[in-house]
Amino acid sequence: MQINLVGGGKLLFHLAKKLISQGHELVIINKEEENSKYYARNLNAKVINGDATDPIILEDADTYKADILISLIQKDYENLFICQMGKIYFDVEKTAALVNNPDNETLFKQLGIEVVFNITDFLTSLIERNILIEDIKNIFTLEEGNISISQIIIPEDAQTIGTKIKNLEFPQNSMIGPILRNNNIIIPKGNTELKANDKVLILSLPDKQSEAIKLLGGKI
Amino acid sequence: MFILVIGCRRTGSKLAGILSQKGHDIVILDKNPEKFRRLSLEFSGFKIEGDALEHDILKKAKITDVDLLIITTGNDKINYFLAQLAKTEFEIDDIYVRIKDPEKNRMFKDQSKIKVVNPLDLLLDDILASIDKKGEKDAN
Repeated sequence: MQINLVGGGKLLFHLAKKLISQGHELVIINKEEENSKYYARNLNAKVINGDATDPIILEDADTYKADILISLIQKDYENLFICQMGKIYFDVEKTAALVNNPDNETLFKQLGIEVVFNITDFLTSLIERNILIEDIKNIFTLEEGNISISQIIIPEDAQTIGTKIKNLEFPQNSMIGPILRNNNIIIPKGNTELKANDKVLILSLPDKQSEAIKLLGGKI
Repeated sequence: MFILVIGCRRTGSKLAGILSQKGHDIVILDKNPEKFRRLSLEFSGFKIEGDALEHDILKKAKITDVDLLIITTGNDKINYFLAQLAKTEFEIDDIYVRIKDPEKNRMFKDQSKIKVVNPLDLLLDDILASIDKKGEKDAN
């Protein structure tokens, strides 16, 4: 597959390296002369030095032969322009773009850019899942985010310790799944009591998730 | 009419002044407040300082209420982006965009609602038309 890659920086360099090792034919378009030289010396790829928003540069980069055109610039308006130019001038079938401002994701998709990397939202959700919420992991969501599955480790000071599950006032539209205790899996019944450091799975609708987590003593 | 002008450079500032004088409600938007000095004394509209690439700034400039949008920043790619954003996201039906490089005209092909104004093409048309006229005269 011929992949045309627009952009620069370490990310692009390593991405290119991986794609080449997977057997793809790569064309890199980069504005900076120094970077372009570096890529040309260190990557087994065709490197074009120039502004990818110029149709002549895209032509030099054999864009009409590209199976996919990927634009990874820090400016959304350039990414949009390059992808659209690829489509309109060179009939590129598939385009992919980085979107730096999450507000622009809808526009990119509506204009027919097939793959949109919304890096801000991606990082935000990673941070939320892994850093901001202590002891709580969002494992995944089902049905396009309409069901969430999360995991909480019951803290030592949780008021729910020792309470039977049937006596918990668990919010509607949420339920407790399997409990992991000392490496054993317990399928909870009404009489099961919660203990400190239990890892508890919670299945819920997204809007009930935080209520359920709070009830089990999780801090949000 | 309520008209939003994005970019207060030569074209934008002139247009905003004339349209304001004709009695239209004008909002002019530019990233650099220094540029508002280009506006004529007759301009009685609103000036908003901000980056038009931010959706919040466009909303602050009341883009959703405009009857007509004029895009005249100095960058063709930004102008293209803003025109698409205005058409798609904010559903503006009447958009004028200034494009410097005629090579980029094709980016706007088959786009209703967006009118591309290319100063170079206008100039060429003008010169060619006057040469034709002269030619006719000489032939007579």
